[in-house]
Amino acid sequence: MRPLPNNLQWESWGKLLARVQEGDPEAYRRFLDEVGPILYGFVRRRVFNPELVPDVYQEVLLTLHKARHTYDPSRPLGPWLFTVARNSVLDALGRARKFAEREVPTEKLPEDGSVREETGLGDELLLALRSLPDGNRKAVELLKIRGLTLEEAAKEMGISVAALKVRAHRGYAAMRKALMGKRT
Amino acid sequence: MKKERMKGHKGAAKVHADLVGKLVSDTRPVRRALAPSLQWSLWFLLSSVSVGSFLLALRPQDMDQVLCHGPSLAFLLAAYLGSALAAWEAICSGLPGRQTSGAFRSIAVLVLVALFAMPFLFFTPTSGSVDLMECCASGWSCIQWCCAVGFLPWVALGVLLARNASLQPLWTGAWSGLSAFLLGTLTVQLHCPSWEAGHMVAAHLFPVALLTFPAALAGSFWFSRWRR
Repeated sequence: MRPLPNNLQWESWGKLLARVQEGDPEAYRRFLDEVGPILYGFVRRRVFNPELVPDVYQEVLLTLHKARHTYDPSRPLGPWLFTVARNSVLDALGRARKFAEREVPTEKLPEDGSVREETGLGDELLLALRSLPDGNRKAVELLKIRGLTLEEAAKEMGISVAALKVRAHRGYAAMRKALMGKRT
Repeated sequence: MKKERMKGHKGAAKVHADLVGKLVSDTRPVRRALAPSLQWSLWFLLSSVSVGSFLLALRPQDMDQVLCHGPSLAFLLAAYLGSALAAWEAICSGLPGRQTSGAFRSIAVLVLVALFAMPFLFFTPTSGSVDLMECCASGWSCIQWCCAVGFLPWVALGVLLARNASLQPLWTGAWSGLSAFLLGTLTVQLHCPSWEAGHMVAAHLFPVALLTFPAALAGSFWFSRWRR
């Protein structure tokens, strides 16, 4: 079992974080490397799904990074560190739970086409998609049908990510308007 | 580093190394958040100026009489104490590791409950029942003044707290709203000649309770900006 950090270690990590606040990258690397395993253990004890642990750990480090200005070097580091870590873990778990509630297991999905028959939405969606101008339609197809990332889709279309976002957004808005029009 | 401690956990060391690389490349000096006592003092100063200006504008008529009457003075002190405690709570909730204890929160809640109960205990008319709706309608100008006086301290507190890193932005927002609009109640109560329970609750305390909800909602957006 890993020995618990002693007071001297906490003190030295507090000093490192104070240097981090002043913009010292080397101190930051050392701080994260030394505190990282403790936080990883903290996360692992609270997250029972091992697949989630790295994601939650990542979330904890990101939150620490964003909240680093709130550490007061004249006070002990532990309470600050673990308050941030505990809240990040709870937030990440809450989000994961919400995501899991919305997720439909693939074995529960109906056979291809039945959703279309029940809702009649498939044809409407297709028509709405076809009615879009070429640029907007391609952006929506690449992102939502082929599932490319923003960067990949932008590269394929030969435009910037920002321009792609604009086209996709216009496409979604036009489709939403077309579908809402049919529903009312 | 003690990366060996992360060994055996698939991808953990890699996640750590990648993330550390990114975070270190983003290292720049940051402005430290102010100490809670300093934030509170700053807010107190700003809100005192705001409340003082409103009091000068409103010109309270019989302040001496009010301050000599025990229950009236107790009500004003409870409003002030409730506001001060709520501001402290809002400030501390934005500083990780500085959150107040359960005992502190209990005292704050007790003071607020006492404040809302006081009109019924000390200022109920002997004549009979109290029609809250009618009191609301007749006290419309007091409601407006409560909102107006509390608005500036609320904005001031919002600006101060935005520099912190609230882990429960909804609560931070609620406490900040409560604190600021209680100052509105305090100011209006000093000016308003009516010390009748129905009027106090409907026109002076009800706006505080009502405005705490939008303040909490605004807080959940505004005080979570640091995470984005």
